[in-house]
Amino acid sequence: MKLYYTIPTLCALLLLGCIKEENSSFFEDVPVIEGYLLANDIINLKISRQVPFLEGVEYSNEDINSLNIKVSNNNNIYSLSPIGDGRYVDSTLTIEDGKKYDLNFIFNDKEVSASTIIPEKPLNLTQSVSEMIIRRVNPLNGLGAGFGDLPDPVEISWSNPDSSNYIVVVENIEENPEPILTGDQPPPSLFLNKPTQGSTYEIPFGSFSYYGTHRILLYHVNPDYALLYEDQETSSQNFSTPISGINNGFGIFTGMSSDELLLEIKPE
Amino acid sequence: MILTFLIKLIARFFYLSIILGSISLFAQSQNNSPESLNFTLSGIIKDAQTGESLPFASVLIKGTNDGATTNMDGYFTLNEVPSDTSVLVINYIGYDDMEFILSPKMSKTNLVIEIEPSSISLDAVEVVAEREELMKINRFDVSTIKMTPKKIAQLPSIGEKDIMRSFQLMPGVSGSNESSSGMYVRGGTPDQNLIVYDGFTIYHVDHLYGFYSAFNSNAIKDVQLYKGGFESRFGGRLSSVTEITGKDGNQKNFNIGGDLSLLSFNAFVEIPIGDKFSSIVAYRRSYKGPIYNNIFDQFNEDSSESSTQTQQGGLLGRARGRGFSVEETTFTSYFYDLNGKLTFRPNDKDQFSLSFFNGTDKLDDGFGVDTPSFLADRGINFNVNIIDLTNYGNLGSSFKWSRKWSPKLYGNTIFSYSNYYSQRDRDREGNIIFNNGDSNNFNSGINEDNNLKDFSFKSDYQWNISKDTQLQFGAFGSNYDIEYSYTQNDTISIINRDDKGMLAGGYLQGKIKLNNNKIQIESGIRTSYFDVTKETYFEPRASVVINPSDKLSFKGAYGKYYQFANRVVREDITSGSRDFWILSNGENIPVSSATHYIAGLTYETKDYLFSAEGYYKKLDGLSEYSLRYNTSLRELDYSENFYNGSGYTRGIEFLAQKKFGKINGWISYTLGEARNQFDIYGDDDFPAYQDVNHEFKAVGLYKNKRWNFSATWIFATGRPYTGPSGTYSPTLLDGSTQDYFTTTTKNGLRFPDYHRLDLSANYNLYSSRERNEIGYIGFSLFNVYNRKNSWYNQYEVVDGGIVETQINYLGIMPNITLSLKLR
Repeated sequence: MKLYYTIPTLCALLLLGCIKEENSSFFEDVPVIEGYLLANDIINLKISRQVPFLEGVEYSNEDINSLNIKVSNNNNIYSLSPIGDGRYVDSTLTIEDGKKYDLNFIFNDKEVSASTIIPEKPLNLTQSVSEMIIRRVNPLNGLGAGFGDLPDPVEISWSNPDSSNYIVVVENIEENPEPILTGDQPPPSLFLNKPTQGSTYEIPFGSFSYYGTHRILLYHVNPDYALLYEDQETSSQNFSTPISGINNGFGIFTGMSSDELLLEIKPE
Repeated sequence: MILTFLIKLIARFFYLSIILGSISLFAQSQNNSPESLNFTLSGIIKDAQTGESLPFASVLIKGTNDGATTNMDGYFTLNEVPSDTSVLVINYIGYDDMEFILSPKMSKTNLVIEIEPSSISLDAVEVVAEREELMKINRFDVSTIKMTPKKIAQLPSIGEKDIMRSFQLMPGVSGSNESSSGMYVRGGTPDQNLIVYDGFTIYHVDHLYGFYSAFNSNAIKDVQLYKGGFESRFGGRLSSVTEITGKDGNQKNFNIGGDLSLLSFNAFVEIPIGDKFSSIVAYRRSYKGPIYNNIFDQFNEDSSESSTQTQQGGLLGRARGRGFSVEETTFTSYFYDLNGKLTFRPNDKDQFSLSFFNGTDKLDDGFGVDTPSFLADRGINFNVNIIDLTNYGNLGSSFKWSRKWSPKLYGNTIFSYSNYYSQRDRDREGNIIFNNGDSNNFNSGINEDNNLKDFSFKSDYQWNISKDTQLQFGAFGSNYDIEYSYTQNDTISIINRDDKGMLAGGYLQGKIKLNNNKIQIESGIRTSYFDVTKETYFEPRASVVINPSDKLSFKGAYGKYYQFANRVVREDITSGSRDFWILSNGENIPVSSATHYIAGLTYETKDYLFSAEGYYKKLDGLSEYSLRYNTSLRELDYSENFYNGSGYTRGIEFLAQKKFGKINGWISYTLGEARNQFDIYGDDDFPAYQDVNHEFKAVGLYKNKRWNFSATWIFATGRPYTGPSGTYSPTLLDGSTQDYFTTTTKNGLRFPDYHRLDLSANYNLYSSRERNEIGYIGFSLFNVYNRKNSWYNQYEVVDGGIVETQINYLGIMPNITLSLKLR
């Protein structure tokens, strides 16, 4: 009988030897790229690392400030210079709309690559008004009663025949802006809205927190940037991997172009 | 003292008389001169008390190696019986072995043999050669385990004696998945296990998050598990087959009985109508008892352990780490099941039966959370309402016509309907108000709906050509309609499918015995046509058993298997993966396939059985659904996020069983692995969810007069899972940051090892007059040393932090069961 059991025991030992060891690298040191390639601007990239969730994991030996980062356009290759904090620039490379740019570098023995095409500058950007009157509000009178006749929203419009993605960002550019409503915490002077595939956008008066000159920036963005916003809505249940065209890296490497208008918000 | 001695003396004398009487009867029969030689005998094996036919019982001609197994209706055919005075040995699990002496006057075409259950026990008499096996591994079958529902009450249970749970104590069947009554057989998944109940397929076997199976033991007569390499008459699954035969109902007397435990009540009634009809109805329903509550509490903070990792100082994250104040709201959860069967035997040849099954779970796990005081003191307020409604179940019915066309040809035809339905509504809404006046409202939810309908027909025939050859053949057809929809945040339709398909085919299989039964070869082919892919699938299968001696058997099997309806895992890292049934479309959900290779040996003595079996399964066309990836850079579309891959499982199982005696039981060890490779998760293979490398199980049973004691201990390697790996926060155009999370390699983490000890003691009750067992009082203790075994982890992303909540399986849990029946 001993002989009969020798065979299965040998098989078990053989199988035991073959059972795969678990891969102990629960955390992979993959770089995070923040690259917004804005037309008519010089290139400016940021490389960072993930913050590990589990304790006791280690980063690779890669120095985030001494990477050999290359951006190329057709056959022109530009080596970016580090300026600290993971930032890389090249003042000789001004981004041009309509062109394709490729990113390439080695991180943790893997080739990280991405590419993007810079969208065309927005065309025919107009606004319905160039100034808006918002009455000063005394908070003691209550919120609703103080505004009097409500001003119409500012309508921004542009050409968008191919339903591409645009995003509107509004920024107060005063050095010391005067708030419309006083409160404990100053409201942000910059706000943006979700991307749109339309050709108009209305900014209601309630969006403004300060008096003074505002810059209205219209960005023409690629779908991958627009999807960053959509993705958040569906990913709350799940750790979805954000959309990016980056190989062996996380983050965003996307081109965009912009145009701008000025809007004055005045008290009565 | 003297009185006891006298009783024992009388009892022993009485017992001796029986033995002597038997010997004299046997001698007499031997003196009868036979009238027929080498004739064909067919008949039926029945329970002597209830008249229930006994499926898959073994009938041997004493003194030879020739024998047969009864079919699912209890019928058998023996070819070339040497003489009509031969002795038959009947063996059926849970019954005493019986020697039946033929006589020339007995019917040769409709012989009825009734055997006694082994539970009859006179207190003062030591019953010799008692046969009380709880499970049986037939030496002549490959990868087959048989179990009797009559005996499983002896095993410890959480609250219900449970067939599927009992199988999980066997080698090769994973015993560490408390949350699944479905079986993980040899690295396969529960959906790869075909479950046939009276001819219809059951698609989902879980009650109450899987802690109990949908099968009421009181309505079940027989269960067989084919762990792999199964025959051509079964198909449509990659891994294994569980064949369940429901009771026909007591054919002799009215009977009523029931069980009451801390989880549920259970009642059955058996009504014979004339001598041609029998019927049984069994109903079981849970109630809001301590066990039910305890399982629900697994979702609450009290019984789970939170650990918090906040990357950017998530405030709520820290709050949760220090304990939610959880308020339960409505609680209307329950499960029930109903089994019914009506059997009509108009004559000796025909039998008609109508079987019905419905089991439903309604789970309401909603609760509300208010601000704990330590946060309220700091001026932070939040409230969260969680709606979590799940409603799922099975509805199945079959109509079966069985006919003994001749003593050698038996056939049955089944029309069946099976419906699995599952609806899940999980919503989370609430707001947080910080002390600086900022508030954060959130509202998220999932709606999931899965509905499967299967209309099937099959016709099976068994032709016993000679004592050494048997042919089985049949035809089948199924019409599937499977719907699945998944909606997030109430409005975003992630997936919405309605797939229909038809499967039809036939099979032919033969069995041949050579060299005086020393070699047994079984071979067959199954062919299916699936109208969705418009392809024909061929599944050749074969097995061989070689018996070089009376005690030793070598076994081997090979088989090809296809599966057309699959339960696909929907990967969910944050709140535990779920799965849903879906029909293959031949494109992004391919028809899955498996090839089995099995080799093993069994060494069996009168009291002991040793077995070792190795297996290798190659799997192709596996599918998984994941929301982790969006493959389009232009738009979000998750509807086709089915990813395909392949895999393999391999392992070796060892079993040592002491079959009989006051102390009996078994120990088993399985060394195995299950790995998959999906391109989306990388080039390397990764451990499958069900991958368990080492699993050791020990089951000990001890009988002392009216008491049955049992203990089971399980040890299993922890299962793998995928968790968060890191976080990063890119800055958007307005200067704000957005948090994203990365995950570990697929199933790159493992839960701690699983182990658990269960104990039980049953006190058997006997009727005073007939000394029949009429029930028992059972005490059981589940997870005796209160091991905290991991179930899954939940992750929540709140304000840039990840909150990890570890959900554990059940802790220590006592139970008392009272089981009574009229007879």
